[in-house]
Amino acid sequence: MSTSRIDQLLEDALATGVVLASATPSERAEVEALLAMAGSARAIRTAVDGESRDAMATARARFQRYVAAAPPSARPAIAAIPQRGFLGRAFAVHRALTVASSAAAIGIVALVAVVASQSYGGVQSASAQVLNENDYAQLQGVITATSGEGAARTATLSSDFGDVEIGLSELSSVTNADQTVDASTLKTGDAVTVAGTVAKKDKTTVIAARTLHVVKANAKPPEKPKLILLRALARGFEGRITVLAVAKDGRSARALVDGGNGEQFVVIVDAKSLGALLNGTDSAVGRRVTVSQEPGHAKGEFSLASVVTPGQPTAVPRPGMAGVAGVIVGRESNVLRIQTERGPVQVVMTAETRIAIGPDAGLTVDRVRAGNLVLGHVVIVRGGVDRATGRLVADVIWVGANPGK
Amino acid sequence: MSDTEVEIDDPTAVGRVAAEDLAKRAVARDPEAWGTLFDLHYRGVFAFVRYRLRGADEAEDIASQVFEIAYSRAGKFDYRGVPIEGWLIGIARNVVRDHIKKLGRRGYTAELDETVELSEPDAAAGIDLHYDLATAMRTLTEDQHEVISHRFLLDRSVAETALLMNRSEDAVKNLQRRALAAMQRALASVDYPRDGPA
Repeated sequence: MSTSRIDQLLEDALATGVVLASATPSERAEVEALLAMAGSARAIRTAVDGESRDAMATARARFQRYVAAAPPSARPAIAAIPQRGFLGRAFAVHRALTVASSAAAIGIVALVAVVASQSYGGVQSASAQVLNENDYAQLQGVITATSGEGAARTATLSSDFGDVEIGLSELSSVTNADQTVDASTLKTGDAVTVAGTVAKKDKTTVIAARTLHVVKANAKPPEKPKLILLRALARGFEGRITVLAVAKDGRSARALVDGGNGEQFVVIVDAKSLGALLNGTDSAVGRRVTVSQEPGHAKGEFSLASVVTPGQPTAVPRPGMAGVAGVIVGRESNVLRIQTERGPVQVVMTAETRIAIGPDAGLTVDRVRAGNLVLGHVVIVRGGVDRATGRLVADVIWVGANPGK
Repeated sequence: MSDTEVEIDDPTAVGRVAAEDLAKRAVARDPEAWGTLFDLHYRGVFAFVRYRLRGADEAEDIASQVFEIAYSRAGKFDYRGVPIEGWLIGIARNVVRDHIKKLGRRGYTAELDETVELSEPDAAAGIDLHYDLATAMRTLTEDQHEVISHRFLLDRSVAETALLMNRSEDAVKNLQRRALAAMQRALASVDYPRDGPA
């Protein structure tokens, strides 16, 4: 028997599950043995699928950080691979237990077991890890310095993860509790909530502000917490959101959650929770949430559900946050017509708009950008108002299900 | 544009154009295109490297490195007629090879041999099966390992595998038979010490 004949008999058997009747007894025996071997190899596929699914969210976040940090020209990838031998594994467990025990001792965070955690630090600043270039971000902090005049004013913001620069422009809307105010009124000690897009200038993180809301004056800059990447949880815990960021491609979102004991957790947010966090008239920042890991979540991905206390708001109201929620009823080029509870609103979708797809949408980012398959879908939009046209320019659009289907 | 849906007459042609457009955008380091590529191919790259490494954490790290290297070298990728997945697998092959060499130089070979089992199974019988299979797969040559990964772990056709490995379909059929036979021999040798030859 020739090898090419056996090759073909095997291929036919792999395709049909049976050995051709024309095979001789010895050919049949050989092919059946190989067929069994192929079946065994296929049987492991489920295990590997599970592993790759679990790894996906963390790996995607790592890749997005890499892309955001890479300069436009080619940059050699880091070749060193962390080796985690016996001692490394033991240390990792010890570190996780340290996190859990300190939280339990203080009694503020109901964090039972962070089974794997990674402390941020080293060569990259923490702020570089929390926010990536081109993210849409909502964050809070206290202004420690200002410069420039009028609409070109800039401010240094001491945030929960480090200092960032806030850039204001004619597209920025600045508000306080009562009204829209001029950017020149911003002063040191103002506690503010900011929404905008992230840029990197040299080694400085810059937020191009769409909206800036002054919460109160004469505030002290926040203490710098320990930042920890949350990778797994045995039981949920409660905390307060200090940062929400949506990646440029809309495929992932991160939140910084204050556990209340000097530690803040970088949490990868699942698609469903993101829609809920973007929704509402206030910012996600300041909202109390329960962080949990649900069945079906990929490793390193979590649900963030608002904690509702009767008679209490879930967050301090931030009226300066521009956004709408409703159903898409029309589309003309890149302008969406959205029917909201208060009437129709026109939303401009630009090339820079981040599009996040909810779990029940049944759409892809490309289909949202390209066609009108979005008609009838629920959407939540955050952005800034173009004063010239009165339209809402979208920084991020979360697309949900189509209730009519 | 009016409120009408886009009509697609030739999905295959649209797919080709879309793939080429995606590759062009990847070459230009468009982050959105790279996000799409990551979602499309991470699983394949992960599965490809998994069976040559100690565990899922290591595979996750190596697979991530593959995308980082690809992104950093995006400008050198020639997308004309070359599937981007083949390029990623080529990078994965080199990264795994270098990684195993480094482990060997550092004296980790023994540890590598002792910890090849998969971490997933719940059933004890499954652990034995996976351990033996993983051990058997480690006896394969690079080409044999690659053909097994494509055909049986990623469920690719002979034609797809041939394209990705830059070989003829007949060569792939021949290689898969030899790879399965090599695994069979390796498994048989694993059994000898248990049963004990007469």
